[in-house]
Amino acid sequence: MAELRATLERFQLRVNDNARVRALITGWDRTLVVRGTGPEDALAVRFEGGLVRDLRPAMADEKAEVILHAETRVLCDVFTGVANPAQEFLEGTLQVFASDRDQVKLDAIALILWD
Amino acid sequence: MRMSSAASRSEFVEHVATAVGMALACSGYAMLGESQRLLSGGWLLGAVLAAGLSCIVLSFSVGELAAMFPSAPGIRTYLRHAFGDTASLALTLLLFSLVGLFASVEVHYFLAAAREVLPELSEFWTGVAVIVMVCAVNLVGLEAPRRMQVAITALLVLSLVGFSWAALAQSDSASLGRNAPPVPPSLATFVIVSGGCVFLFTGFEWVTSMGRSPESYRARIPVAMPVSLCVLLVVIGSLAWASDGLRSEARYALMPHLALGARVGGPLGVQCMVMASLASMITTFNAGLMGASRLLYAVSRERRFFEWGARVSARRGTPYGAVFSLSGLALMAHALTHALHAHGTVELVCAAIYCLVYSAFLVATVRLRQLRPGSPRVFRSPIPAWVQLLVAALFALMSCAVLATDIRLVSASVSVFMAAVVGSALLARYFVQRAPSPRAALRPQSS
Repeated sequence: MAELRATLERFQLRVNDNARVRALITGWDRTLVVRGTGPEDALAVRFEGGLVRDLRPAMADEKAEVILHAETRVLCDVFTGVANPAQEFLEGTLQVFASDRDQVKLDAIALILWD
Repeated sequence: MRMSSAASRSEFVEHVATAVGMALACSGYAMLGESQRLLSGGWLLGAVLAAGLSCIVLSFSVGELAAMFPSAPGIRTYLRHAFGDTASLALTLLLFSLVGLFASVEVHYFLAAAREVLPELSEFWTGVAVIVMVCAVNLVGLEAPRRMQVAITALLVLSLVGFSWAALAQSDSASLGRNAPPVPPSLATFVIVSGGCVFLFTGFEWVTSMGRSPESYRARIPVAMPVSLCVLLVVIGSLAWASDGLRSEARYALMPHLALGARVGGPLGVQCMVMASLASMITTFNAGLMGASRLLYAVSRERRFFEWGARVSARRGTPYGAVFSLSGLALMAHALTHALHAHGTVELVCAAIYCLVYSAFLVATVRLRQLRPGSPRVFRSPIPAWVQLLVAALFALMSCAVLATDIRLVSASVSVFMAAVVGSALLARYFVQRAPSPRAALRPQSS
C-alpha cells in the first residue's frame, strides 16, 4: 500500500506540474481505480478540472470509469515511467477496464510525461 | 468487486449486441448471395450450420484466452504468448490490412444497397465520404453509447428475422430449394461455401477487450460470444432459407436481404432493408474501427509499427496517427477495389484471413494449456483439445478453400491473400528486429 501510494502521490505532483498534461485532461473528469496484488493495494485517483484532485483508498466495490489491475510492482513501474503502459497492456500484465477513448487518454498522459 | 445482477445482465446484453452487430455486415449479405450461387436448400443451411458451429467451438477457446488475459487485445496478446512476438505481430498486421480491405467492401455493398433508393449516388465519392466521416468521428473521439448499439442491433435482428419469416410464410414449402445448384454439391464445394459462411459470423471476438471488470471474464464475456453466435445462426439461417428461392431475381444477386424486402413489402420493403444495410454498417464500424485504431496505437507505442501510429492529440487524447493510418488504408483499398472492380476478390481474401486468424486462436488455446498449465483461467473451454485442433485444421482448410469460391477470381484472390500474408510477415520481422524502446531497455534494471 505504502509503495503504491507514494508512487501515485509522485504521479499526482508530476501531472499537476505539467501544463501539457493539464491541457490533455481538462474536461476529462474521471475516477481511476488502481488495484495491485497486495491486500490493501487499491487506490482511487480523481481527475477533475484538469488536475489530479484526490488520492484515497478505494472501496472493495468502488465503481469507476477506469480500472487498472496488475501486480503492484508493474503498477509502480507504469506510474513512474519505468515501464511502457502500452507494452504492459499488450503483454497482458496490465489489465485496463475502460472505454477505448479513456484507455488512450490514460496512455497519452504517460506518453507526455515520460516519452 | 461484484456487480449487481441488473448491471451484470445489462453488461451481458451489451456484449451479445456488440458481437452480433459486428458480425452482421453488408459484405456478409453479399457473401451469402455468393454462397447461394454454389449451394442451395438444405446444403446451404448445412454450410451455414457448419460455419456457425465451428465459430461456437472457437468462441469457447477465445473465452478461455480472454479469461487468461482479461482486457487484453486478443490477437496481439494471446498469440504472442503462444507463438512469440514475430508470429503474433505478423497476424496483427494482417488484421490491420483486413480492416482496410473490409472497410472498402463494406462501403461498396452498403452503397450497392443504398443505390436502390438513391440511384444517383456516386459509388466512389460517396464511399470516400463515408470513410472520411468515420475517420472524423474517430478523430473527434465520439463513441456511440452502448445502449444505442444494443437498440440498433435489436432492430436489425428483428427486421431481418421478421422479413425472412414473412417471406417464408408467403411461399409454399415446395418452393424452398427449388433452384438446382449450378454444380452438384461435392465435399469440396461444401467446404468452400462453409469457409465463405464463416465470414457471416466474424467479428464476435472483438468483445474480449470490452469487459468492465475482471469479473466480466468469469462468465459474461465467455458466454456472450456463443450466445451471440446462436442468435446469428437464427438470423443468418432464416435469411439464407427464406432468400434461397429468390435467387432468380438477378438484380439482387448479392443482396439477398433486399430480395426479401422486395418480396415481402415491395418498394417499402426494399427501403426497410436499405435501412437494415445502414444499421449493419453502423454497428460494424462503431464497434470495430475505434477498437482497431486503439490496437494500432498500442502496437505503435511498443515500437512494433511506424512511429506515426503512436501520435495522439494533446487536446482530445485521440490516437490520430492510428486513425489516419487505418482510414488511409481503407481509402486506398476503396480506390483500388473501385478501379479494378475487385470487391469480390477482396471479400474472399477477408474471409480467408479471418479463417487463418481463427485457426491460430484455436491452436493458441491448446498450446497455452501445454506451455502454461498452471496459469489461472477463470473460464475454461469445455471443448476437448483434440476437437479444438480438428476445428483449427478445418479453419485452415477453409482459409484456402474460400479463395476458390469464384473460379474466375482464384488467381487474383490467391495473389492478394499471399501478398497480404507475406507483406505482414516481412513487416513484422522488420519491426521485431528494430532496437527496443529506451524504456523497454530499462525494464530489467528496475525489477
